[in-house]
Amino acid sequence: MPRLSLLIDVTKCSGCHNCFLACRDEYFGNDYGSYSAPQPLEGQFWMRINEVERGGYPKPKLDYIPVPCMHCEDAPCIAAAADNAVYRRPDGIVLIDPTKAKGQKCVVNSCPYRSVFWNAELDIPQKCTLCAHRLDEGDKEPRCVEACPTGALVFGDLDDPSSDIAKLSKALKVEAYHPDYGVSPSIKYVGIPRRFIAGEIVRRDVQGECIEGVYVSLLEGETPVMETVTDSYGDFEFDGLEKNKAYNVRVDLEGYASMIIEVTTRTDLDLGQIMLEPFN
Amino acid sequence: MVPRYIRSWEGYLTPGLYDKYPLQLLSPHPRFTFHCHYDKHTDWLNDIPVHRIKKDGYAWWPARINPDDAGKRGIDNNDIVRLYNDRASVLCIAVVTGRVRPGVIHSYASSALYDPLNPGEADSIDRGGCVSMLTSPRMLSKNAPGMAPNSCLIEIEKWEG
Repeated sequence: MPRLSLLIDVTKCSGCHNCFLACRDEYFGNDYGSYSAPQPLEGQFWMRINEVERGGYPKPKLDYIPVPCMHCEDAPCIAAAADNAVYRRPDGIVLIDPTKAKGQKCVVNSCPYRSVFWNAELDIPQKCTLCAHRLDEGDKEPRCVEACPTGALVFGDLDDPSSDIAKLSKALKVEAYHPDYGVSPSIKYVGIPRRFIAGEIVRRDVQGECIEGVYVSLLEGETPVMETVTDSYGDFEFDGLEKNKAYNVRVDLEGYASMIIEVTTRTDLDLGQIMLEPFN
Repeated sequence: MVPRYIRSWEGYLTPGLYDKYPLQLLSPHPRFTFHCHYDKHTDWLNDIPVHRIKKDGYAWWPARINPDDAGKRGIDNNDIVRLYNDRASVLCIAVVTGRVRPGVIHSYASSALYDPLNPGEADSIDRGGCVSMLTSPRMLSKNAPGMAPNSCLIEIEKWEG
């Protein structure tokens, strides 16, 4: 049996919202029978884009995290719904039956990802169906994946070793979005933003000029975990770090005193200018 | 002929004006429409928060402001703000973000909606987000008929209606 899922590469998402527009286009005013009732004109985000801003001027970073229904293996919406109104198909897609779910607002509140929406007019909960009605007709992809211009969304069967999604899941470091919710989401993510540490190296005796190629290492206590060199602006950066963790940043340049800076990644850190003192 | 720097007619070096209007408005082309066309090419474009942000039943045009500038003026994220200079007044919704540097307001040009609070009055405050009304209609130079929408100084304040 296939295990249909999405792989979302956050590093490729540019926030163009094409997925959201295509999704609304597919479902607004369109009734797909037992798959889904029409989406209202406003207010439902079956594919929502979370904007995550990190750091600030002069080193801001921006990430967009597309959040559809996670089609969880331990879906709390299935547990919350009465009369089997929400169910999981053998291929992994979690669907809400528009007839049986009538009046069941508890389904909306059960979702920790806030991916189920209430349709006040029809009195039903609604959410992403992974375009099950199209897949059953022989379409290869949901509308959002079809509309994605950067390849940030990959759809396929995780159990088919020849599929793109299975190959990418093996090659890349995939993770769940909010594993702390504990609901085993099917949707896979790559590159969820974490903490970064950035800075700029300056020499006391050659001010006003950037220095390229300075070794900067990131240590956990005494153990090096990452290494980088400054770019042509004298800037360096470590990304993908854990939150609320103590690190040491060490800067080494021949002829200058080595520097160690102790930091804790409570927020993203811009260390600003790091001044190296010459020995003589 | 050697290219040379010509001081902007409206920038941070403009005496008098800069004291009155200390923020530079950057209004590049919009991301989700083509100039002012197609703002309503789909009815759900207003659900994209980069395009418009809904508050109190109205879809407002976002204006991005640095936390330093916002703090000085008592502006919070999602506050309705008035962008103004001698040319016009436009209401937008504030997006407080470190992505713009201090001294700069970023808001896309060409909002397709002109929605004056007092229709018929030439100097009415607009709440549709036509920030292009704040920019100068003059050309780039005598011989170059390009527009220069980033040479624009404004001030911004919280709008309490």
